[in-house]
Amino acid sequence: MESKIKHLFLLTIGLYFLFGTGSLRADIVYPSKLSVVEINPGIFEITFILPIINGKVLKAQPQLPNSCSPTSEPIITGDNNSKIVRYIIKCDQLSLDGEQIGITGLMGNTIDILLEVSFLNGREFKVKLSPAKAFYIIPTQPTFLELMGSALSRGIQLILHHFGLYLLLLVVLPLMSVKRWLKSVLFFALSFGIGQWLYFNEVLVIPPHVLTLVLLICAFLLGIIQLTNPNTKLHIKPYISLFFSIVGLMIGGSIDLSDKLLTLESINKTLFLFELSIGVFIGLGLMALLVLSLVNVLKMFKGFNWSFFLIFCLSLIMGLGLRELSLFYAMPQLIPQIPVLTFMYILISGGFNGKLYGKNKIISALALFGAFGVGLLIGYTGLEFIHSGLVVAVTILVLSVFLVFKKQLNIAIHIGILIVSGLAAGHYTAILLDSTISYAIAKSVGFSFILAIIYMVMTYLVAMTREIALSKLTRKTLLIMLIVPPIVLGLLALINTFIPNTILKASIGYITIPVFSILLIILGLWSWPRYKKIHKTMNLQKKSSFYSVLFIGLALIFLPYGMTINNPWNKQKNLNTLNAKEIIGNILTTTYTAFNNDDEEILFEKLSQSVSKDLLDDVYLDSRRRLTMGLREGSVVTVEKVKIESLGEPETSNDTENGITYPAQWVVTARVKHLQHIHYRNNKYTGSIKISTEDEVWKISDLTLVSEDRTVIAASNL
Amino acid sequence: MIHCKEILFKYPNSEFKLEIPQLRIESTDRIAIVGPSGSGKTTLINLLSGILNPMKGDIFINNINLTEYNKSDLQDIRIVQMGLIFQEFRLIEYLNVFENIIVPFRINSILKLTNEVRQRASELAKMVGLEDKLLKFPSKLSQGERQRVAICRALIGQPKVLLCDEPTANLDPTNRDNILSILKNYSLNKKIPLVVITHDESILPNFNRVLNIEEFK
Repeated sequence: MESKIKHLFLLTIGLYFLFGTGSLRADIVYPSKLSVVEINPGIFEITFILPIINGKVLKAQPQLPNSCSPTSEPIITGDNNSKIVRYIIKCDQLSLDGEQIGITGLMGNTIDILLEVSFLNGREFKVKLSPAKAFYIIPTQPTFLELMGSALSRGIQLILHHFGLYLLLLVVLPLMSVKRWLKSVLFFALSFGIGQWLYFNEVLVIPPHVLTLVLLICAFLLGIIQLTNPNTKLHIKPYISLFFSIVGLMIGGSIDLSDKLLTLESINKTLFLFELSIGVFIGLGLMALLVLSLVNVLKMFKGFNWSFFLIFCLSLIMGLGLRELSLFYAMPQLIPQIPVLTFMYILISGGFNGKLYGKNKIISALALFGAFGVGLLIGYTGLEFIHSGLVVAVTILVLSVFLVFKKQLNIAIHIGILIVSGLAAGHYTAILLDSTISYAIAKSVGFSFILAIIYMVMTYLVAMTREIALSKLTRKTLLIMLIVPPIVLGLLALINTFIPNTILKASIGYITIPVFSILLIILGLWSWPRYKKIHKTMNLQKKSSFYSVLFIGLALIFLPYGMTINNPWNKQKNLNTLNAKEIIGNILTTTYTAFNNDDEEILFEKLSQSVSKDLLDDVYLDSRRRLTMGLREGSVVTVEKVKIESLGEPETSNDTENGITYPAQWVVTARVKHLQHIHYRNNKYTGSIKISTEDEVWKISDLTLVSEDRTVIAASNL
Repeated sequence: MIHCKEILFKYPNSEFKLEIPQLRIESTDRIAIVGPSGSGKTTLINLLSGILNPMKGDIFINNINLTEYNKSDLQDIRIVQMGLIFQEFRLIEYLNVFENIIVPFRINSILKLTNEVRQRASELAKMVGLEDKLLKFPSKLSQGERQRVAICRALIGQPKVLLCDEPTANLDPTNRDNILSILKNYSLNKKIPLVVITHDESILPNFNRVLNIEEFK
């Protein structure tokens, strides 16, 4: 039964890939492009795009092989920015291998032109042509032996260059029998091939720097477990093949071989991936031999102690891990964009499931990841899941409190909670990633594997605290180490969102009363168990503060939810430039971020908090037009930041009732998503803003724009 | 063990006065307190249970001096230390027998309702012969059965003293003997003092000590 469940688990992981279909290529627009697409055998559609600069078109022409001749009249279209020429050609040769395609008439220009050639047999070429190198020779197809040789050597090299794997093997190999090791290597190699295929199809993308760190963390934790638990070999046995399959898939999903794969025929692509997997198998085998030889050589020395060696390895791993982490410190944008809440959720639910035994443990994992996968699907298909983020936050809290107070739920309720929260977590993750990163689907599949590893490690660690004879202090310390990071992350998230938002609202005259939180705090304090002197005298046990902690935790989560009222303590003072800058900045932030709401009713309600009634319609129409100006249809714009660049002296008297007008310059940074691709853009405005008080609240009463400047910000890391 | 020292109690605006210079009730004692109406029997039980506070003196229940604690602490002491049984059964009509027995654990935050408590409730019901009536409601029970439920409710918290105010006043002789035998056996088995207020002289042979409240006057 257990092995069937294990297979089902593997199958579920496999099912993740079913929803990641369709093209996910970024919407990169080249000013000039020559596209040669085979539409029927020997018949090609030519599309040639040229930019129009200062009203003039470049006098360049496509240079096609001599055996090809046009069969249709060119159709010329375009707009103010580009000229597009389309026509069909017929080539007498069966294959264009070794033929030259290029552009003539580029000399004396600095323009680059993208050449795209695709054949019916699946071969594709993408080359950037420049005036210095204006031609490209279509490479001949590799022979079977060439293909095999290159795939095998590539596979071996890829593995042997992965230093994280050496350390992982050093820690894991001594725990495995030869038979199990061979099985794991086989799974690893096959998963690698699958991972690579998924990467090529843009269904799975794992940032390589993240992968190295994940491998080092796994090696470190496995080493620690080995040092502390003499039965590690026994515990690890059932999971090792699954573990290596996931690692293989992740490594496969992190390596970009598309340059090679694109140039191959469809059948050769499959062959290449298969032989690459064989190369990986050999590579990992060689690596294992190297590692085992090293261990054997060391064992020849008298007095060699495996535990000491393991400690040495762990120190090395820790050092390398810190080195990798310093990379994130130096470049925070490299940190994987797994939402903090999702990360915490997996960490805590992993720990919570670690308290279960045998079949229940596997069923819970299945329920969690199955629901998470379905939740991702729901999120990406745009279906609603009401307040999914809130459901995840509440679940994190409830599970943490259960974990800390060592309480266990009935297994049916336990699984029910995991299914509902897993769905919510998947939905929340999909919605968040979809709006913030490029290749969201592919990356979320990659992240799912990172999360699966985190989950496995967490489950194992908590199970270990239960099974090994640890002292009470060690057990408590371990539990605190596992619980504190998610709690700190949660509090940080709360501080980063709730406090600035409250300050922002308060500064323009609003105050949010967190009614739920106040009630929950009262409930928490009221139910807090009192341990009085008389209880001690009567030898009564201290009562658990489980419910109180739960209520107070919920109060923290519900802090952002409450009633917004006018701030009764807000006294409109004479404005000086410094506080005017702060207040106007906050009013503008409230105004522009209101456009992040899809619901028009909510948008108007939020807008009315910072814009005077008379101006509401004008500001709505004008700001919406300016934010989406120059973007393609279907683009989603999310305002991220509003910053006052400069604020001049007031143009009118300091009269809060009738309004004060300031000349100002401000920048609105917005995230734009189009066709799975994300970029940022800055809209810089110059004009004058008039603010006045309406019901004791500062609002914009007039807005005059003098100029507007839009710039796109490169965001390669997204 | 119960120990009263130099107790003086008076009701405000009343001539009534209760003075107890010395009273020791050991854990092996099964004591009946007798006396005419208005002599202070119920007052004494209320003093021993901490419901009333003496003007002077100390009352020790298992070395805890009741006079040193406030109302809230005294309530906790009563819950943990004492089993109180009254003439009226004070059962909750809409709860069944089992729920009535465990009710102290439902309403007192100081007590923790666990499976062990539920098990104990079933055992107590068996002990008093109510094992087949656990799902019945009080309205379907006889007077004797209702008092047995009240006894189980008093014993569920494993009290250290048993204080009973006319526990058999409303019962026929068979039920009366039955209830007294249950209380006596429990006190003997658990080695806890049993204090019973009664005006029924026929039950006095069940006790190893009889105290006439008039002796203190």
